[in-house]
Amino acid sequence: MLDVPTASLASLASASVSGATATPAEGGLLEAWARVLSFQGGYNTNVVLFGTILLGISAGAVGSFAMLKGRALVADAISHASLVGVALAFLLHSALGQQERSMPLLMLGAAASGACAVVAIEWISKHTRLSPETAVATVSSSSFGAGIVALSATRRVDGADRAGLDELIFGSTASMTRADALLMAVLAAAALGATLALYRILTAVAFNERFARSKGLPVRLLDAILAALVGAVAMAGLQAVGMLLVAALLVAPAATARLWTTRVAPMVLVAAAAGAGAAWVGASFSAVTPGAPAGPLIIVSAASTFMLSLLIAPERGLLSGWLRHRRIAAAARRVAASEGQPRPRGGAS
Amino acid sequence: MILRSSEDRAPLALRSLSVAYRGVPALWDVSWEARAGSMTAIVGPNGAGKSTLLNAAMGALRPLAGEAFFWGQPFAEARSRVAYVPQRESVDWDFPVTALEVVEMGSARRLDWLLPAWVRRGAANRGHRREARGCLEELGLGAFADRPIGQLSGGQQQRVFLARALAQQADLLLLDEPFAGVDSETEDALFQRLRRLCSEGTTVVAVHHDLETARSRFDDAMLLSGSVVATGPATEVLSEENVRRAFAPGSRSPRQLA
Repeated sequence: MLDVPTASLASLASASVSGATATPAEGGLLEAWARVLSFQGGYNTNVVLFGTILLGISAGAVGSFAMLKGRALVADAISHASLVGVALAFLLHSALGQQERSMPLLMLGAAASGACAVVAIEWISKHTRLSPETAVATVSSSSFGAGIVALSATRRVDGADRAGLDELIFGSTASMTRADALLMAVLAAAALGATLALYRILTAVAFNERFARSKGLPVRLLDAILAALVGAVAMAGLQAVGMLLVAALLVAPAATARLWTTRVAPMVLVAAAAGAGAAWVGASFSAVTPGAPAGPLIIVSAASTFMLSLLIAPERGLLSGWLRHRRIAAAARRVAASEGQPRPRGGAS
Repeated sequence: MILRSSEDRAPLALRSLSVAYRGVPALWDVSWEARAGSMTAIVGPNGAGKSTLLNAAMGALRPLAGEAFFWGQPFAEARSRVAYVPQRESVDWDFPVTALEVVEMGSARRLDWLLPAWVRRGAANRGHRREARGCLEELGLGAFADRPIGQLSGGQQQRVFLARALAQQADLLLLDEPFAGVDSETEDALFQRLRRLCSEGTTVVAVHHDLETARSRFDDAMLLSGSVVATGPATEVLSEENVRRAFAPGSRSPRQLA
């Protein structure tokens, strides 16, 4: 049964949602899924689901500005770099003799190493002739390498609860406690609020940095703030979506929204909705299929939405582009034919 | 606040300004003053440091040495009186923003940036919007106000940028190749508009490529090739002799300056 008495779960701070959903048995998968989708999967499932949806909204909004600023890849670098911070925070924690896993501490580790990555990228692109793209790729992959090394070191720690550590790479809502979900929701809401408050100024800087500078807007500070917002979303998504996949949650909804919209405000709204939808579908499906981690499911549904949009979006979609091309090609052929010129054979579709 | 004494000073004065990118000089020892109410063309070959000059004057680049003054003050004190139009290429024209929204960025005052549109509803905001629309109409873009900028032609995009500069109601316009991609008819109209601004006391400094119109349309010119080749009245500065000197391959290329 999905519905476990709330009180018993609430009393267990570390009770996992998977405990509530491990046996979807009776109604069959689809029925169970529908129940979770319609927020009838029990209190704890809902807490995680709402938290994840809020994360999706926030990732869509923040990701939109990261994309407009041309910083989509920085999100990727932050998420790759967070592994080393998480692993080091874990090692530090167990070196101090702590056995319990501490999510806030792991998040702080992720934030610290993510910040280092951003600073390194900025420094490399400012002080060398390497392109920003090269800087991002270098920092992203090398810090991930360092993260794997650090992660292998955690395997040598005896007795520590490192089970959750691997889950952080690809994300899993199954092991989330209510406290974890709350932390995620608060972080995501804070990032969302800051983004909406700075909406105009972020737009101006993203559109035309030199002009913004000439108007006296604090361009560098806003760059740092945007990086911090991306970092906050990455931290919030650490557990539910996983440190590697959270970058996709930042980018895919924004890219989807850009296909449908021609102005910033609608784009941010659509991106937030796309992020929320992906989180809702992915997290709820994960809740009824034991062993299917939420992170990848969320990303797959975000990516599906993107691919569908790429195909069918008006103006910018592939299909409409193809139709436009066909129409104009036919018109050109008609003109050519009416002027008595020989019509090219074959080739044209 | 504008002090009376500052009115007597040049809208833009450069004193021994030198700039380098990673140890390679781009601009060497440039001293110059703009005459108030005049139009000056900054002319020179590619890589002569024309855009660098504007950016360094506004403090977007840190100079190796030298200073720039606007009415005797550093740029930070005078920025509300200066409108800057960057090079067309420096902008992502696929950005999801309408022409009107771009122009509104020009008239935005400090607080506006922090308040989203739905908070700023009211007379002041409508005034802004009307003003911005007026600037677009003045440049013949009234019908394109609500179009995404990506749907405009190159010349129209350039006019949107100029409309944004107009909306700033500045006393000094710094324009980086404002006529790039503009057809001759539009160019004509824009020149007339700029000339009218000048007659009202505005000073225009524009990086300009076309020698012909630089001579015929501008009052003054600065011929630049890393360092100053000549300054003064446009027709004199842009003499055959001077132009040949400035544009001769490698003659005074910035690399050889230091």
